[in-house]
Amino acid sequence: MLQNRFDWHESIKAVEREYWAVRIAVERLVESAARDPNVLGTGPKPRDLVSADENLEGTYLIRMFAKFETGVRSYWRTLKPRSRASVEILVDRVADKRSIPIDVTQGVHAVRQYRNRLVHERDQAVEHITIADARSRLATYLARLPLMWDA
Amino acid sequence: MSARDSIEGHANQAAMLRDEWLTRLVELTKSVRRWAEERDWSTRQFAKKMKDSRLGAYEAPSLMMQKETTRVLLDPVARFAPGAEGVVDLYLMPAYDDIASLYFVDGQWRLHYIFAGTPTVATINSPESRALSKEALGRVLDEMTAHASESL
Repeated sequence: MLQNRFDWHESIKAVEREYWAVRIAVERLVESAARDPNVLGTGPKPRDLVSADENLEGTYLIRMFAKFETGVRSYWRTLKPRSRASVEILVDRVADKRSIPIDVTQGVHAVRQYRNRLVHERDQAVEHITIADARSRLATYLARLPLMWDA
Repeated sequence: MSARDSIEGHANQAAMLRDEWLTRLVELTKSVRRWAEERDWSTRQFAKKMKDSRLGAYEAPSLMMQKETTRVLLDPVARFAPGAEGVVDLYLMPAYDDIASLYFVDGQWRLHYIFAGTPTVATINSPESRALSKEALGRVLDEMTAHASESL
């Protein structure tokens, strides 16, 4: 199936747009619940709202990275159909193949490490990355892939 | 009205809305392309796959513009948005950084962009947004190239 790089760009950007829509909705709900806790009804408690607020950006960043990884794997499979490389190795191998600048690749690794910290709840010190920064780094790397490939 | 008539009615309405939206996008892309080329930007139009819960799957025109090292993408986002009958974004490439948004409101495209030295635009209908014009788009593109030169 023919893959268009811009479709992958778009799905990454769509995750960011969705994040901002939900961010605004959650902020409005936090404000409303502060005035009247009954707006939450019988389900979630105020502490759940606080936790949703705190974890929101990380949740969307994890989704965004998953889209990115799927796109890069789809390209890599055209060259190595049986590859089961870890995402770290995948990013480096594609970078070698496409002559992607080291700084751009390092930017993706920083997002990957931050994603790992969120997923595995590790305590190791890693660079905090906002969702806009993650999108920028992932999109810049993705832009070095061919415009189309047959996956 | 039978269930079949109802389904056909919805399908016809979706097709009509999609055609109207695509016509709007084609006209927008044509204008932006012409204005950009008049300012010595090179342009390339391509089809973007869109999926909409009401309009179904379709392809819409997207426009890449480049001048020296600055690349800007005119990217259709959605036909339906609160308070608007269409949204198209302008992104700085390749990072997809948000530059500006175009909202189709009251029969015209309105540009939401924070020009240097002007206050932030708060809402779709805010008076600080301006009608899309050759001059307004030109100013956005000029600011993009100036910013790229500064950061070199």
